This record gives sequence, C-alpha cells and structure tokens, in this order.
Amino acid sequence: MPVAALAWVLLALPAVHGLGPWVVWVVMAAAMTLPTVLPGARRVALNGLWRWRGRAVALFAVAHLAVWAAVGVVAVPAGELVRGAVGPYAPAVVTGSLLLAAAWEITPAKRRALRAGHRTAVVPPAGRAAVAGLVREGARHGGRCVGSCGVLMAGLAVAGHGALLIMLPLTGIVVVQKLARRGTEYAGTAAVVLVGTAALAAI
Amino acid sequence: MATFLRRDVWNLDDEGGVWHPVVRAYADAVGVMKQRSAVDRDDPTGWSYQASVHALPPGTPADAFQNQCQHGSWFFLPWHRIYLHWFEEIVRDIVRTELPNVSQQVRDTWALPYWDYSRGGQNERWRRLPRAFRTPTKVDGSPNPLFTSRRNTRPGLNMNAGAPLLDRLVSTRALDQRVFAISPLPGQPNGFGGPVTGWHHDPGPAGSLELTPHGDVHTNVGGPGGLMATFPNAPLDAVFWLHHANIDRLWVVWLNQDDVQRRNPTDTGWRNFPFPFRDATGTRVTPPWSPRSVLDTVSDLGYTYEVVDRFPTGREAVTRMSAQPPDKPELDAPPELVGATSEPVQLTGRRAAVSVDVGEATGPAARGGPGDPDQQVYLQIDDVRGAENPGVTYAVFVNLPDGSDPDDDPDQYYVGNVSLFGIEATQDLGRDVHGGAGLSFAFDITDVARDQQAAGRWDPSQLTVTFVPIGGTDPDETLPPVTIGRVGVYYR
Repeated sequence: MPVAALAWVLLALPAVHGLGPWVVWVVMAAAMTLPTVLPGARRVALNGLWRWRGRAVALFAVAHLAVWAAVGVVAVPAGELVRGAVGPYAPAVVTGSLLLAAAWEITPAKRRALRAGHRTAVVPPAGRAAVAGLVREGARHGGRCVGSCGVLMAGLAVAGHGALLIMLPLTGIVVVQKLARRGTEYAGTAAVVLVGTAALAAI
Repeated sequence: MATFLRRDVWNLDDEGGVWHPVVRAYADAVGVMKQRSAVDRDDPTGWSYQASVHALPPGTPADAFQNQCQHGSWFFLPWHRIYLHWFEEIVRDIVRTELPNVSQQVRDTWALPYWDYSRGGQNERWRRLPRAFRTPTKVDGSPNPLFTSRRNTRPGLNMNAGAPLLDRLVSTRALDQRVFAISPLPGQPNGFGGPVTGWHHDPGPAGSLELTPHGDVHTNVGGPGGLMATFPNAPLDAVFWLHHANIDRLWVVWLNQDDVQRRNPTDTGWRNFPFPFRDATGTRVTPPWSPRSVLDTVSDLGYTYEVVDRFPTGREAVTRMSAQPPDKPELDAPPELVGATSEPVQLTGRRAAVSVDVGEATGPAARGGPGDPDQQVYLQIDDVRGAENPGVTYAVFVNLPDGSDPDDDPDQYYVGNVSLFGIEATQDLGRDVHGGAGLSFAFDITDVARDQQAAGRWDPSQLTVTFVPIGGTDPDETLPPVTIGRVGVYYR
C-alpha cells in the first residue's frame, strides 16, 4: 500500500512525466493495481518461512507489476500512435474505449479472469524453487489482472497517462472488484461507472 | 409446538424390518417429490428443485434460492439445518395429505430418520447403508425411490452390496474440538463448525465435522461418479438427507458434552446472517432465517433426536484431546511455517509418502519445538486439486515406517483424513473464491509429535507424511488423480 500511495504522489509530479510515457505507465499501474495484490501477498507471506516473508511479498508484487510493465511495452506506443493520429486528447476515442471497457465488464470472460485472480497457490518454502514459485504466482496474478482490467486500462493508454480524473473511478472499480468477497457482483455497477466516466470524458 | 423425534434408521429397521412404516412413508414421499419434478422441473417442492437449492452444475442459471449450500464455512451447520427443516416439512406434508396407506400415528409423528454410522465403534452393522436404500424395489415390486445404482461399487466399498464404511471414515474425533469457529490462518485447524467466512458456497478449509465424517461419508457412499460424491448431485440420493440429519445431530451431541463447555458463536455476523429459503409451500420465508433462528432444535424447530449423547466406543475411546487454539487467535502470533515440500505429490489410489525438511522457528513460534509444553505442531496439506472426486479418502500418517501396516499401531501415526468431497468445484471459475488454488487441510499433530518424541521416533529435522487410501484399492485400478500442491509443518 505505501508503494501504491507513493505512485499516486509521483503521478502528480510533472517531473515524473518527463521520464517518458512507459515509466508513467508503470507508475500508473503500480498506483492502480498494487492494492489488489494485498490478499495474495498476505497469503504468500503467511504461508512462507518467517525469514522469507519480506522477500515473498516483494517478489510477488514485483512479478505482478512486471506483467503490467510488459503490457506497457505494447500499450504505450499504441496509445501514442492513436494520439498522434487524432490529437493529444480525442474525446470520442477515449469515450469509445471506456464504453468498450464498460461492455467488457459484463462479459463471462471478465468474470472468469477476475475469479482466477482471486486464487494464489502455495509455493515451495525456500531457495530457488521459492523464488521461482513466488515469481510464477505473482506473474500469474498480474496476468489475470491484465485479463480482468486490461480493456479498462486501454482507455487510459489512449487518454494519456496524466488523466488523473479518469484514473480515480477506474481505480475504484479495480480495487473493489479484486478485494470484495463477491467482486463479480459489482460488474453492473462497474459498467455504469465506466459509462458515466465515458460521458465525462466526452465533455 | 409438538416435538417430533428423529430416529436412528437402524433402530427403525430393528423394530419394523426393512420397510418400517416411517421409512416406507419416506420412500413414498420421495416418490411423490420425484413425480412433481417430472411434471414440472421448477416445482419448488419437487425432488430436483430441492437438490438444486444445495447446488447446480457449473453454468446452470439459478434463482435466488438455488446454489446456496454453505461449505468450508462456519455457516455449514446452520445452513444445512435450515435446509433439512424445510425438506422435512415438505415430506411431512406429503405424508399427511397425499399417502393413502399411512397409519394415523405415522401421519401425526413422521420425522426424518438419521443414519448414525458412527455409533457402533468396531460393529460393522451400523456402518452399512440402511437396507431400504439398497433394495431396488419396494414390497409391491415397484421401483424403490430410495435406491440408486449411482453409489460406490469399488472393491470392499460396494455400498449397495452392504459393504460397511470403514471406521476411519466415520470417526467422530471432531467432537473433541472445543471451539466452534476460528478465523482462518494457514496451518491452523478450523474448529468444530468451520472457519469464519462470509457467504461461502465453495469447498475450502473446513471445520472438523464437515471433513470427517461428513465429507468422507459423501465420498465413500458415492464413489467415483456417484451421486453422493458431488455438491449438485448429492441430494438426489435419498440417503443424503439421513446423512445430514446425523451431521445435524452431531452438532447437538457436541454441545451436550460436559467435559468442557462448548458453545455456538455469539458473533452477530454469524447469528444474524440471513439465508434465502422457500417454505414447504414454495413461498419465500420472510423474514429470512439466520443461524439465530435455528439454534435450539426443540424450541425453534420442534424436533429432537433419539440419541444426543456421544458413544464412547472403539477408537473414539482413546481419542486424544489435543490442546486447542484460542477462539480468536492473535494475528500477531500466527502459526509459523517451519518446513514444506517443494514438489507436488500425486495420489492415484495407492500409498504415497513425502518427506518434509523441517527447520527451526525464527519468528513468533521460536521456542523449543515439540518438547516445549506450550508448543503446538500443525500439519497442513495445501492446494489439493483434481478434476473429479476419485471416490476415495486418504488417511494421513506422520512418520509411518516404510512398508508397515497403517492399522498396526494407528494412534502412533494417524493424524486425520484428506476428505475430497467438493474437489471438482475447486477448479470451477463460475464462483468467487478467494485464497488457495484447491482444497486444504490442517491437522493438529501436537500429541502425535510428543508421543513420537517420547518413543524416540521424532526427528526434529525431517518428517515423513504418508497418504494411504482408506479401504485399499484394486492394484489394477487407477483412480482419477489428485494432486497435493504442498505439505507443510507449522509451529505455534
């Protein structure tokens, strides 16, 4: 959570935006998705050796974030391409991508990805096998997070990464769905919030 | 309110033979319920609908009352008590109004019988499926609604042939637990009634009673592909209801024990949690019942059981009374992992063993190991996965010598069962499940560790955990595989 909070602070600093769009993408992914890592991180910590618990949480979270960073390698240039074609902020394109995300929220594929992301397997207790296991489970968590929230994040890639006002409701959706016991029940609410955000983006 | 008496089905058999009037009335009423479902599958008082209240196959659309069974949860016992009550009311209504050949006494007093498979200790008779359930036809030659061929036919466990459930499957060691529910933590057993959860329609870490005898009876009566072995199909076998009446009775028995005071949870999150149900007419129960509505079977629901005391027989007489974790364990002192396997182990119906390297505790459990009188030792079996219930239960032994008969000196090595009821649902992404990637089981092995240490058999640096299929298996038979992700040892 402190890392996610720090990421939000960094996003508000103009200097960070000078480091390039991919860095901003990674910081944005940290701000929005690291809170969702908490249950899995708690599980690997409590199920691991005491002396490994710090490493366990770090490896799990870094592997999760690495998946989003890898996605950014494709998503950021794609977003840049779109903005290059239609201008730095094209309301119609942003609105369209958010409406697409709203539609994705109510699909069975979204529900499956979200549910899969709630499950974290135990890993070996120590050594290379533990490192491999923690990285595997963190990456799996990140991959399922991309499956669940990727369409939603695509809207941000198109909007540009300084779109803090759009990030806030989207972060709310991501966090509630991942942390609530029956997160899939909020699919309709998430879709409505996304439609509302799309309307704001159009303005 | 009249008090109905739920009776032991084997006592009914003793008194009136296979077709004691109470059992015959049950069979005829089940026939009526099946007929209702044949006419209208959505009839809420029909057989299929009542089963669907428990669970539906993945992907099947459900109304607000279906797919509601509570497992791996402190709601397991109260939810099933409510479920049985409304089922019993439907059957009682049929007995009273639709069965022509029922005596007035049965009409006035009919109550759901229970199957007490645990009562006899070493006596096999009670552990056999009651005779009326394994007879294909009734006295008049018509099909018997209580019979199904979809039961265990494995060697030595052929239920319809009258094979007895083996005593480890029906052990009532769960009654030793002193607390009802525990906030779940890795390594720690979950009390008598199950872990503290929200609404929980999935398998998961479960209370002792839910695992054994509940889950083991499901698995071994059903067998591979059998009705009793899965969540959606289990209530379609008429013996399900007698099995759950016995589980409900064991809750009463647990509370009645006087060695240590046992009590139900007092948390409002448990007592007031509402569950949607339809009553015997199919009408929504308003306001919805919660555990608080059904705590006393006599004053709240109007029934009692023929026997509500524990049978101290056979293996049960020597049951250990392990130290129990506190009701609300301190989160700053969770059980600490001190060793675990690195590779998964696959079970296919044969004996299998794994070795666990154990280190010293360096965190909250850093004390003196099993020799420390306050040290508790737990064994956790994690991420147990399989596409289907193999129809077998595995007994778990610690440091069982290679090649030895697990029954030679069982209390030296035996720690509990890996109960696989519901395993197929662990892979179902049709529901929200938080936590692990499969079933998990935690055993308090403190006393086994101390006994082995006293006998010079305990190696503090290594533990061997052996899984033995209960009842044995045909050497030519390969059962559906079950994979155990990890075996871990915890100190506290």
